[in-house]
This record gives sequence, C-alpha cells and structure tokens, in this order.
Amino acid sequence: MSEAEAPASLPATAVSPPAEATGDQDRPLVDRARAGDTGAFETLVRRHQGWVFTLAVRMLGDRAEAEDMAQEIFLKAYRGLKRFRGASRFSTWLHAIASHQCLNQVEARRRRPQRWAGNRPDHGENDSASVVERLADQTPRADALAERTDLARLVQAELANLTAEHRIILVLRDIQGLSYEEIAQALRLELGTVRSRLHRARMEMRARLTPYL
Amino acid sequence: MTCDETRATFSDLYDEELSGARLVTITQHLCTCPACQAEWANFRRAMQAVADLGTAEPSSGFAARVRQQLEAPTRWQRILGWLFLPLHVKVPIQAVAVLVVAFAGFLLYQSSPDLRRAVEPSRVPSPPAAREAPTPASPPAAGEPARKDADRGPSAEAPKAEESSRLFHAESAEPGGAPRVLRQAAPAPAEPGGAAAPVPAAPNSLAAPLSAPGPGAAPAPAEETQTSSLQGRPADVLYGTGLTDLADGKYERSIDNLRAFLAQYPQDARVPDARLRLGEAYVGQGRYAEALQEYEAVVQQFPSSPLVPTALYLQAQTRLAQGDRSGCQLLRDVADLYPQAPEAASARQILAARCH
Repeated sequence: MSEAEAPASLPATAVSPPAEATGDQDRPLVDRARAGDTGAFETLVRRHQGWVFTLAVRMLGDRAEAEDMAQEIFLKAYRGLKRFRGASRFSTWLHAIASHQCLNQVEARRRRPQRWAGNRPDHGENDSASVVERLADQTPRADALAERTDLARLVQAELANLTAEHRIILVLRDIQGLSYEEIAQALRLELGTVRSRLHRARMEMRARLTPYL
Repeated sequence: MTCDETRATFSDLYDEELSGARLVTITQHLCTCPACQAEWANFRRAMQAVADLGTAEPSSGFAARVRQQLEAPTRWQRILGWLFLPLHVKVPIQAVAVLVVAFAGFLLYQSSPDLRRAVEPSRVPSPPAAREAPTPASPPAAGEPARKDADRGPSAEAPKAEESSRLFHAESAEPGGAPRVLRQAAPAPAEPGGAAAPVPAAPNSLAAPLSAPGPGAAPAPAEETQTSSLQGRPADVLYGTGLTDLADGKYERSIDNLRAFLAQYPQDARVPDARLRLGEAYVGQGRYAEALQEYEAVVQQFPSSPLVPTALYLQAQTRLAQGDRSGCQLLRDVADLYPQAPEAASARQILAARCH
C-alpha cells in the first residue's frame, strides 16, 4: 500500500473527518466564508466540530477547556482563511491549526502552576508513578476493568501522561484516523519522523496499559 | 529475526504497513514465539483501548456561538467605531463638550481674581499712574518690588503704600513748577469702533489696578455705611490700606478707605495722590465719570502739584478708553506743557498711534 493512501485498516472506532468534508466539498463553503459569509463558515464548523473538539479534549483532558480551545481554533481558522490557498484539503489545513493550537495550549498549561492532578508536566516512563499505577494500588484489578467508563478514564489519564508530541501523534492516528501523510502535513514533520514517533508513542502506551488489559 | 526486531515492527504491523518477505518473516516469528505473541496481543489491546476513547461532541449550539464570535466587533473595530462616529452623533457631543469647557473656564475665571487681573490689562488700555519710568515698551511685571521712598518711611499697616506714595513725593519735580495753562478738553464724539483700541501699556506698576473692571465688579455700597466704620482711623492706615487694596484689585475697599482718608484728613499733603488713586479705583470698577472727576479735581484744586501732568494723562487715557477723542487734546497738553514729565513720552506715543 502506498503511503499516500489512507491506511486500509484503521481501528474500528477511529474517528475520521466526515467523508463529505474531506474533499472538494468544503471548497464552495470556504470560498463563501472567505468572502465574509459567516453562515457558510458556520456550516463548516458543524461539519468539523466533532473531530476538532475530540482532538482538543483528548489533548487537554478537560471538556470546558477543550470547548474554548475548539472555539479558538475555528476563530483562528476564519481569520486565516485569506491565507488558505487550497493546496491541501480544508480539513488538512484545519488539522494543522488545531494541532498547533493544542500543542501550544499544553505547553502554556505546563508553564502555569498545576491546578489538577492530570495537569502534571509531561515526563518519561521512568518518572513517578502514573495515575493508573496509583489507582491500581488502591483498587483490585478486576474492579478497575469492570466498567468500560473506568477503562476510558484510565486510558485518558495515561494519555495525559505521555509527552505532548507522543500524545498528539497517537490521537491523530489512533483516534482521528489520519494517514501518515496527513499527520506529517499537520505537524510539519517528515514521514520517517512520524513513523518513528508513532511507534515510540504506541510502545509507551502499551507499557502503561498492559497491567490492566 | 530476534524478538526485539519483531517488536520494533509492531507499529507498522498494526497499521498494515509491512508487506512481502518482511511481513512473512515477522509472521513466522510470531507463530513460533509465545512471548512475542503475548506482547503483540497486549499491543493490540492497548491500541484498541486508545481507539475506544472515541469521539466527543461539543455542547449544543457550539457552531452558532462560533458564528456569534465571528460577527461580534473586535476590540479594534469598537475603538475605530467610536473614533469615527457619524457626524450627526459626533457634532452634538462635541458641541456639548465645548459648552462644558467654556462654562468651566468662566467659573474658573470668576473665582480667581488673579486670573482676572492677568487677563484684563491685555484687553483694556491702562493709563499710567506714576511718573517714573514711563516706558511703554517695558511695562513692569505685576510682582515688581516696590521702590523705597527716600522721604517717607514704610508704613507697617500698608507696605504697598510706599510704592504709590512716590507720586506724592516725586523726586523729579516739574522744572517749571506749576503748569502755565490747563485747558479743559471738551468732550468729543465717540471714536468709531468703540473704546477698546490698544494703546501703549501703562508704564508703571499700577497698571493693573487701573484696568477695566472685572465682570464681577460691583458698584460701591452706600458711602455713609462704609465711611462710618472707618471713622477715627489714622491717616496712614486709611491711605495705606486704600493703596494696598487698590494694588490687590479690591477696588471697593480701596474706594472706601481713600474716601474716608479724604473726608477725615482734607489737609493732608497726600490728598492729591489719594484722589488720583481714588480715580484709579473708580476706573477699576468701570466708574469712569467718577474717575474723571477725581482727576479733574487734582488739576483744579492743586494746579501747582507735580501730579498735574499725571492727572491729565490719566484723564486722557480714561477718555480714550471710553472712546472720547477729547483725550487726544489732553495728551497734547501733557506733551506740550510738561515736556520733561515722564508721561510726556508716553503721551506722544499714544498721540502718534491713536490721535491722527
């Protein structure tokens, strides 16, 4: 399979940008929005708000903050529409904006005083015990895995313990379902870098989750 | 292929990025290595758990809120909108602002005598009152220190009186003594254009008290009431206080004290000077007719006084300030009959400027 193509087998629950929004179908709306038609841009927001908000909430771990971030991403996109020349799809361009906004927010949060447990600075595998490990110390393993919501909560907590670079590439690939090429464009990375960074992120996540799976 | 090499390909294997011989080799290793099989199973379960996090939706109305944000004016747009208000909004606001500023200025002017005195000399010509240094080009500042009189000691009650008493004890007496002829100028028709034409400034420190009355200048109250309270006061006190009040722009009090002085001490040697000062105080209140009477009284009652040219000069200035061109004739009298008097030079300048 060529790298330029979308991967043939994405995880079953991976969230992709809407099919009708990933091609030229966005262009007429983009052109109208660029001319000042806020109604057209609102339609674009409806099309893409799901994955933009998902990216934000997986990166930040907080719904309210993620919603503010998503709003900021769309406002930034609207203001930057004049610079969008259509060389790539609108969704790819929007992914780049969203990714950098989220990374900037994570970095800004890291520099602020910590206010919540999940807001710890990014650290490597050998740092202090993760949230999962601390929870496991207190809760029998069977109970921790009994409820799916509990597992999701644990996975989200472990996701927050990855470095921002590993977290976003994991979200873009395994949750958003972007191809390597789309990830490379969004993060402005070489394909090889995407591949190696994704591998390290996945292996770290496996190591963190294995005791509970 | 080793276990480490196999596990290094898990990410590509999970994404089905491997093919050909490499895929076959890895598959064979996984089939024969239980440890790698378990590791691969764990890897797949972990990735599935991550994918199961799934999607999330923002709260309802998210897109509409984004649109509202887009349509709301930015901070700069609000500032620019305020700066470039339409004329039908901006002009009334500016008109009200001008009125408020003008009213505030008027209140400030009314409540500040110093400000009034500073403004008035530039609006209304002030005749000189002293005989020294009649140089129109260099009017003395309001705060010019008073020169000491050689003959009279300073009065404790009225230190400023010393400055004014120079008129009475002028060291530069008229060489010719009394004036030979004093012509009484007949009133002439008012000068077209009013009386506010500029003339050279008064050449002495008494210019300010001689200026036109302030907007708030009130007429003098009943003389009996005022003078009765001043009965029995020493001549130096009345005279000195009158001059001090005059210098301070307190014309009404100055008039009271000087009139009390004239009434109680009619034989005092300072009477001619007191009358001139009284005239100045009247001018300060805008009571020109009474001022002219005082000046004329000096000329008529004290024809040999060295203050006669000063009285004539002040009379001329007062008439000109009223638009009465008969003041020109009086200036000619000063220039012709008292050529050595300090007022003569000023009189000639005013004649050249205003009496063509």
